[in-house]
Amino acid sequence: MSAARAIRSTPDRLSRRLFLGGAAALPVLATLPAYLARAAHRGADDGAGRVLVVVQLTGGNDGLNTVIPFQDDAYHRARPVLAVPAAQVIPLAGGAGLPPSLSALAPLWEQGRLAVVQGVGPPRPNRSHFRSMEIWHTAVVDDVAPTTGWLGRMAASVQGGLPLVRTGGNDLPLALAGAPSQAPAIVSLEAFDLHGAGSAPRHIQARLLEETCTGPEGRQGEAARVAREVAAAFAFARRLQALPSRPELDGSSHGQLGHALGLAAGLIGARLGTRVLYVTHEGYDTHARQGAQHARLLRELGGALAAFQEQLGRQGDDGRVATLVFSEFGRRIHENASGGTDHGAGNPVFVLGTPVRGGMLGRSPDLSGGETADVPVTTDFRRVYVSLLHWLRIPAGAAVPGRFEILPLFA
Amino acid sequence: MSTAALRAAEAALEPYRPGQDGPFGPVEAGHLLRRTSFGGTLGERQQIEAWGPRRAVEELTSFPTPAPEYVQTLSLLQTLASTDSLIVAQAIWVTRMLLDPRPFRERLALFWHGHFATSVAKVGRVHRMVRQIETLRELGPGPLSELVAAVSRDPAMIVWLDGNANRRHHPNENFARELMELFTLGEGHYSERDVLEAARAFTGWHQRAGRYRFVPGEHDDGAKHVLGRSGNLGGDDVVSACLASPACGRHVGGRLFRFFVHTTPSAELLEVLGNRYRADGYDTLAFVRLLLGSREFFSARSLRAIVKSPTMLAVGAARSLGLHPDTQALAAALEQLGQSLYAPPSVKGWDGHHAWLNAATLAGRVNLAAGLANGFDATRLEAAPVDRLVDLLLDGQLPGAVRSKLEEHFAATGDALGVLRTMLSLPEYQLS
Repeated sequence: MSAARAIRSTPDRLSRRLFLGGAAALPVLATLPAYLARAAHRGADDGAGRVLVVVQLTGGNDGLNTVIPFQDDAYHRARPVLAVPAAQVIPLAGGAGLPPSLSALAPLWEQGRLAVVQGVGPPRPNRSHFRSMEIWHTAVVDDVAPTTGWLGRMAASVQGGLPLVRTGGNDLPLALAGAPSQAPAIVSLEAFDLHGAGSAPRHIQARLLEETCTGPEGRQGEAARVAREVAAAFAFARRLQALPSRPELDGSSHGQLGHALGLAAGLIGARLGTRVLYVTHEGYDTHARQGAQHARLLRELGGALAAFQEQLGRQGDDGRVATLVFSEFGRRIHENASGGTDHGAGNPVFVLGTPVRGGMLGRSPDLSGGETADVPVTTDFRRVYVSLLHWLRIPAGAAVPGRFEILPLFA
Repeated sequence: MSTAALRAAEAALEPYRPGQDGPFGPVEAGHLLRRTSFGGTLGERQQIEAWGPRRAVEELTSFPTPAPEYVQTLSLLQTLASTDSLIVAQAIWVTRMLLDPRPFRERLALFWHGHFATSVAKVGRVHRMVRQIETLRELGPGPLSELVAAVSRDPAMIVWLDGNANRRHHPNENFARELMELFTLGEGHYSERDVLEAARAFTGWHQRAGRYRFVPGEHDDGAKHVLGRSGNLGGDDVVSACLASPACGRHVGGRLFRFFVHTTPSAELLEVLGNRYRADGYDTLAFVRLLLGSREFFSARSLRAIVKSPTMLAVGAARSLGLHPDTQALAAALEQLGQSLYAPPSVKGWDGHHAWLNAATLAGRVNLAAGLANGFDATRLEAAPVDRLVDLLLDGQLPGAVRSKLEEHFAATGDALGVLRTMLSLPEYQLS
């Protein structure tokens, strides 16, 4: 076969056109097999259920430049290059404030809708991205690496399960593993339009796919497991198709995070019954030349969160949605010589939303250690989790093993 | 670990003997074809059956002199190699996977790409990523020591893990940490001190304008202590120390096992194969051949046991069906399914197996099936399409109830392409 043919488009080519939605999409199935109908109706939403949105900052966000102890001289001494000048800081409370790049969150603080918990982390902080993130995702601090996440176990502990969704990426974080049905990862809604192939009428094609790809049919092991996941996928696609109109999306400014949160707001507004939405913001592992990059990330973060709150308000959903913002660890008190910071420990966490009781919680960071010292962990991250579960009205036992005192995060 | 369990693990790695340990028919031949070569034609599978496992493993993992036609293809692609367009570079790689008569080279390159996972997102220059993969392709089958030494000097890797910021008086630990945690030992087999000292050993390992450059003025030549070794250690000494550890055999050997065999090796199996890999001088090709010819490879634990990566799914289908898709569109589809070539999500690579599957990517796979089916010449499927496609795509194995539905559909509609599309969407077809 000639090389030229291989790289030139040929008439029988696989065209991007085939992946766009519209006329080629297959229709909703009028009658469903029983187990598919159950999957489709589970989680019908009357618009009253409380919703948690989790925003993960991936890479280890530099908490000391996010919630800045600007009145502590040690901060300025430890970071001759990276410290935000005290005069530029937007004061919050307790000698801490926000950098100018997070000015979009200032109104939320003033409205009492932003809570900050300082010094959050696991009891024995770990400097590996993956181990730390694993701890935050699984809410288990022992050496045994579990394969289920706190949100997945939460979903499994509720009668009939609880719909979870990840927006803005194709991967499913470990936090969602263990849910009764695999959460969809949604980058765009067009992905769920199924395209036709062959000469049979569209509804016949759809039925053939459902009948051959989703049922048990004497399948075992891996094939049965995949079939269950296909069934959940088709059920979700069907629910999206059954909406009278596509969810309105906003937040296309504020970058990839803005888009993901816009999609989340749209899904919340669409009343599909989703109770937890998980979003990630990448790029926080700032080992070198941190200043401009971190400011850019925080501007995107603040802008996207503020726009998200506004969109929820316009939809009338803001009273029932709370947003958690966390990262797998903070960064060291002292800057390094590459103009960046290395992996650290204790870190601030944000909880925002109309139901939230705004304020500063936890202990201010102790900056008195030596050159390789970390911000100590003074609040166990699992206290934040159980506080959120308490607000969601879901018993915490299955999701978060152990007993932890609730924080006053909600009014 | 019990002696009995260790002995069972040794037995599991012994060569599979057709007749004695089990059959070597279409199922086993198809399995070997998929795992080494993404997928192939009926003729290729029949040839493997005729060869038997020993010869087939050798043939499928050898690198014969390429035919003149393929050499021509490669030189044509070479003119595009300095591209700075990611989608074009991805399309070229997909083209190589589709056309290489011995795609095992690409399978192994893809494995190493996921292992030394470096992303163009931070590296910036596409052709530097292409050159990194070229290094992985060339040195991938050989001794691990040479591969790691080359990767430590790879300009894309140096950018990815902040090598230029690793300087004499101010070491940067990023590369040293990932070298130990992800590339060689795995967590728990080194200390924080080892990481800091190893970082010092790699100071001055910089890149300038896309070329490795050792900068003596930035190298810390003081005494260091890494993994029990002391002295004026340099980067190569650190690599040597890592490879001397039994943990390296288990970690890297374990990853090769999970890619080529199945995802649940026992602790005993990891111990045995780890020791084997290390004792053999980390000769990757010999090790993979051992795995592919083993009883474990042909056991029920391994057959149809791994969810296909998007690349495996698409390239396998195209090779089996003799399709010539637009490789740029195919590369874009792979990204939608969660596998953007040259751009893994993090230095940990792709988790794989069930992590490939969620509602969005499953809808994507069903749509990929439609796109591929629409590129197939339906007249090639005149008689008994269901039987022939089940044979070609699933080695003849499909639950009776599903087969009946496909037969009914074809009988009622004569729609062979619809049958093909459905087969490419089946749960069974998502598994290798």
